[in-house]
Amino acid sequence: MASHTLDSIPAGEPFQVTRVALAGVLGDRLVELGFTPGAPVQLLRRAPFGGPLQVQVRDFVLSLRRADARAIHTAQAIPANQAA
Amino acid sequence: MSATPEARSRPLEVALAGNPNTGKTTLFNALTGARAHVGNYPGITVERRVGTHEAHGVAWRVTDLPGCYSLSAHSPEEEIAHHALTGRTSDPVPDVVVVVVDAANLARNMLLLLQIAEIGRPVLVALNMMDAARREGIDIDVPALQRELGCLVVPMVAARGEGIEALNEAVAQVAANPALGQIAETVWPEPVVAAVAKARFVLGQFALNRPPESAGGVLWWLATDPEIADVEVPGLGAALLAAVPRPADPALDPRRLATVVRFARIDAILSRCVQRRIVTTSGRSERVDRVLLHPAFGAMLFILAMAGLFQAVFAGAQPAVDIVETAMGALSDLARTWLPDNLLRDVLIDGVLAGVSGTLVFLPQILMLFLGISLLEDSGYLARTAYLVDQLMARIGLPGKAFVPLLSAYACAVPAIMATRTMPDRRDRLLTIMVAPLMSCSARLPVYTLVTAAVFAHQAPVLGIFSLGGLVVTAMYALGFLLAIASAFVLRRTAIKGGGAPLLLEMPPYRWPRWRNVVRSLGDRAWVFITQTGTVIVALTVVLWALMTFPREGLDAGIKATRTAQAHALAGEPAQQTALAAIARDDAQVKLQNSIAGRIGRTIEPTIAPLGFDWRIGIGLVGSFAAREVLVPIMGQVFGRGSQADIDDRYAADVGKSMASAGALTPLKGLSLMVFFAIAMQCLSTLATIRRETNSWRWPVFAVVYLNSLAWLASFAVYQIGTRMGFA
Ligand SMILES: Nc1nc2c(ncn2[C@@H]2O[C@H](COP(=O)(O)OP(=O)(O)O)[C@@H](O)[C@H]2O)c(=O)[nH]1
Ligand SMILES: [Mg+2]
Repeated sequence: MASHTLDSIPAGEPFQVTRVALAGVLGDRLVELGFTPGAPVQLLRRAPFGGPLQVQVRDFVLSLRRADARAIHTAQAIPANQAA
Repeated sequence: MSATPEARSRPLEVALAGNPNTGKTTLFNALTGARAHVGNYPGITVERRVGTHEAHGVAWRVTDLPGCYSLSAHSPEEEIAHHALTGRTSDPVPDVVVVVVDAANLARNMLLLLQIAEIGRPVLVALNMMDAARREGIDIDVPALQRELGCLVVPMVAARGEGIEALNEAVAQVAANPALGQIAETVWPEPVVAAVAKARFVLGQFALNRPPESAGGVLWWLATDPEIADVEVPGLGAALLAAVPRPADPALDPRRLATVVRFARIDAILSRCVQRRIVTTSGRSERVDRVLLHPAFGAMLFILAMAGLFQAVFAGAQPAVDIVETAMGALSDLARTWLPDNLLRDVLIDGVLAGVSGTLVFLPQILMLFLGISLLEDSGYLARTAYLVDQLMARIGLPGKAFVPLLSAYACAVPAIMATRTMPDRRDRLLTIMVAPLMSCSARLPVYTLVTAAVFAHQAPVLGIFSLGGLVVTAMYALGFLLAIASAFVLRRTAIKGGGAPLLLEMPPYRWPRWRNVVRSLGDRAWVFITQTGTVIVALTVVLWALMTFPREGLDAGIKATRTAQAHALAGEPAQQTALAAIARDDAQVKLQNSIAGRIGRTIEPTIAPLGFDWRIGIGLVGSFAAREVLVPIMGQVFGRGSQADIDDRYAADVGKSMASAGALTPLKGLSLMVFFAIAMQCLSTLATIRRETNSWRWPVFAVVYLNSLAWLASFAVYQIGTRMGFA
């Protein structure tokens, strides 16, 4: 399955986190906010003119800059009915 | 460890902990009612709320801990929360920690719950926002959750006061039996266990007050930045880093692994206790966001909202400001007639009362701005504004959250600096505070009027349509803005290094603001401003009054007597009155010129002469340190027009004309004066606010030095280049 970084996935489609490829405090913080492997994520929208992204991770909505989102790797989520 | 209620000699220590926006403060208010105190944690500006409550005959002392996502000390809030929970502050260690959890966002909220339980404090869960969870179709099996966690779980709707009784009961149970407040420790994988063992060895070598017992406590030390760990125990951070280095692949870092393992445990627990009835991709808030964050419509709405907020602060507060000024003016007139004419009366009226009035006049704008901010924040829109402008603000080197404070600084820097509280990163916030006074505030307008009416009003319109005065004033706004950008750029690389924190901003669901919360937070804000900033303003005003007053050398006694006799000899009451008033005015003029401020004005003349200012303007520069607009009545007094409390445009224009006819003001000198006032830090109240918000004198002093140097350089350039080019 191809890996996409969070800034490049299509808006409104269910994905899941595969890994956070960022060392240091910011990476720690992302993980503490719930970007752990397998967590459901969705890109909601991009602010105009290269502004931040609005993202849903688990049950809450967060905005983060595109450059930071580039460190979050995701994969297309497997729909529940096909998972079994 | 815990005493029975009868044996308890001190109140039960209850701490409310939780993620931001989970309803901690709402719960705190519901518990403590009006019996609360808002202050600051020592050394930093994170607010500290402590109150009392009583349940089942037991007195509680309740602390509303700052909201945080974890205990890893990435932010001052987290550090405080952790320190409070481990007894590293002067406060007693909490007997019971109520972890307030958003039922509609359980997974992320429970990370903090696990961390708090790991460090060994007795916990219980206030499962708040049950109404929101229900609306989103989330079913929570509370008994099952309680079984899985092993601690008590109390479902609540704090905003409606639901569940308070059950919470009282649960807290009493945990207080009586702390074992009820434990959660079984997470089973750590091998790399985490190994790292904990190594860290424990290092911790053992340092003389810690309270060496952590549990793995969770050790993990906190590990996750702490080396820098922060070093602050508390010099050398510890580096030693920990050496013992447990950060591996090249972050996924193998034991600190991060611990978080991943906690989340795995949480997911497992929740999968057994939580059912989603409706599986929608978009919640209620997302549907609102589709409109409010729409590329075109959202931008329009944003501009409207910000224009409304600005208008409210700039103009909406004006009637109340007028009332305060009139009332304080009447009060000091009254005091002047009632009190005997002596020095004590003068210091009371022109020092203390002027300072009190100089504090109170800011209240309407502060309340207006914070009313707006409370409504924006509680509704959830404030975080969206930061999202919308983040890119724009990034171009000028500041985060999106600096937008609202800087916008309000165009009305007044005092509320604007207070509004930087909404900024999470310390350095970003400091930077915003340092550049906010460059935004042209409304107190500069009387000064601009004084100059433009006197020297630019009769010039030919530029290109036949633009009045020169209008253009110059507009240029002052632009100058302040451009200098703010340049200063931010330079300061970021010099005095305030670093910062530029990542955005990572939670966008809370849209909610209707609750009036009780809004009113309460306005009350807190006003109280803190009056008691803490106000005292500094009063003290500084008294000092300035003394500078402008002593040594009280007026007209020569002989001359005064002769002129008085001449006045009395005049025919007719009105003529006599006019002559006597003229003597009083001249006396005041001479007194001011001979005062310490007057002498300073003379002494600094050589340094301000290259800017085109003579010593008389020098007095004005000293005096207007109280507030910029005070330049106008001081100049009125110095140039023999008399001073006037109500600074209207007519008066400002008249004073300007007197200055022009005395040769102190020419178009070039006027421009230089405007440039100086556009940049210089001349506002006691702003300084007092910076002191209060940064909790040190270092930053207000820095602001005075850097802004006034900048002002001097700019005016110097204007006047010298202008003179060389043949302007006068
Ligand atoms: N729907 C709902 N909203 C709540 C509840 N409790 C608090 N709120 C709202 O949630 C927002 C955040 O509350 P606040 O007490 O400031 O949270 P804090 O950041 O944890 O102190 C406010 O707008 C409250 O009115 C609740 O039980 N249900
Ligand atoms: Mg709060």
